[in-house]
Amino acid sequence: MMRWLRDMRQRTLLAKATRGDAAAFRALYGELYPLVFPFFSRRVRRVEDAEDLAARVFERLLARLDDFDPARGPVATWVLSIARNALIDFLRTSHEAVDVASLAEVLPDPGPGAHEALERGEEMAVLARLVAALDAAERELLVFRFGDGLAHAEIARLVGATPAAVRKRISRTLRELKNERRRISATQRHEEARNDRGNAAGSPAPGHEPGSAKRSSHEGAHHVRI
Amino acid sequence: MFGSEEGLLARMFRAREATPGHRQALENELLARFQTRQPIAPRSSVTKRYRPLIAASLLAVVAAGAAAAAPTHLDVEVGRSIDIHLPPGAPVPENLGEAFHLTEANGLRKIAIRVTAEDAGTDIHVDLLANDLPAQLAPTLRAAIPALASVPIEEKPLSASVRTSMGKRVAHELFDLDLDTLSVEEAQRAVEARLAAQGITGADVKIERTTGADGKPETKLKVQKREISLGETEGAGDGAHGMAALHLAPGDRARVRIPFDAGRIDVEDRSIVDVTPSDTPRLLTVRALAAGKATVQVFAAGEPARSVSLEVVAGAE
Repeated sequence: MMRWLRDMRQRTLLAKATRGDAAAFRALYGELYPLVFPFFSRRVRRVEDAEDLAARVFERLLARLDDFDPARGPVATWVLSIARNALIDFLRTSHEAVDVASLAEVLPDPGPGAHEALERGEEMAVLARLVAALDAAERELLVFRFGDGLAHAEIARLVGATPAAVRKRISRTLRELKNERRRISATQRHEEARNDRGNAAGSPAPGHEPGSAKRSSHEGAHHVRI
Repeated sequence: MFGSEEGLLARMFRAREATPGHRQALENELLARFQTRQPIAPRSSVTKRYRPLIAASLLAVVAAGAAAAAPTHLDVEVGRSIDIHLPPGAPVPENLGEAFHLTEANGLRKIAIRVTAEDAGTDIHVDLLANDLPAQLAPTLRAAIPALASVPIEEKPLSASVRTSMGKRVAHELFDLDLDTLSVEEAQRAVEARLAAQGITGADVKIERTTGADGKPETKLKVQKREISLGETEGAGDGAHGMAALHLAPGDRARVRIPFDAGRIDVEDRSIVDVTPSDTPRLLTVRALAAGKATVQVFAAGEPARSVSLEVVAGAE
């Protein structure tokens, strides 16, 4: 209901702006900026690029105010489709997308204790590597859903699929990520236990020095763009 | 410790902050360009400045008689009802809801299917709550279910889901108001007048002026009216239960239509309502003893009634 109310409000503002109401355009900008800038900041490496891209989207919006077709979905989704096209154009000529595998490193964990923070950081690192290894289309769905916070129907409009298909693909990807993380975690625990036994016997297993399993979880990180 | 994928992903994809001042600088630049833009049609409103954001929270509304009164002149599509009559003995199609091929992309919020089997055949009534429906759904339905090829299918503008349709109607009307130009008292009178013009009286209108996080004034509008919910047949969509949820205030009275084969009527909270047989065997009178929500459930042969048609046919006294 809130999404619907928001769209009704934005449609009203857009209609007023189309008729020349500058205040309505400003209000519409105020509603859309928190959607558009973060969209880019999640996807391109440099904040300056995200700002330029956001400016480009609003310039296009200004030039195309009367192009909005109410029958084709919410205002916000329409603007995001402009943003998505701008991003595609940008990435076509640039390699400055966010490196997914690095996200775990740049995002500090607000966990309560140092040990928990370390574990959560490792969890994040593992997940980031798995996400980086995903197919680009699946990764895009995850960013739409968990980064931009879009509903399945909104994502569906953007990627040209049905909401049911989007929901299914996201669920399947989450399930696969969870299973893979569990498998990696179990392997790590198994190796650590083996190393502990080796240490207790005074003869570490060759190639399995203490901490080697932990380090291996950071090896071979994929560098794939969102 | 094993954090959820959803939580970790939300943190992983957290947005970064823009350079301080970027948002304002871009706004100034855009507004400067906007001033040079040729409007599509000159604005005739007397509003000089549209300062606040109208954040409206509209709670829907309605009394009995308005159930089928969703105005047709509104642009907002409420939905559609589909009536299908099957000959005696004809099986009810499976996966009927999916046969419409509607999704959230159609603005689909709910599909409620009610099946009533009688000697003369089986009536299927479908309520589709959606914003963006194709002009005709019957061809899609017939294509998906060949057994319906020669069966009469009637489509009508939806009037069953009173809560949603009236909510849309009220919201549609009120979003057009420029409350920012009015004092709180004037704004309240304007909203009440607009509601009255829509046939909605007695609503509780609250207008609140606050200052938003960005320092700009905001106007919050809340319209609420106690509802007697008509035809809010919870569970009707799956055909497993026949129940009606009634939102009542003391003194309210409603009549509930029940299926002909109902063997037992259960009322969730007898302290709220008093249920007595009405003038005909297929009607009950529900009288509210206190404010609250009462659920009336109907059983046939000891089981929750299937194919139930429950509806409130009269509102408050």
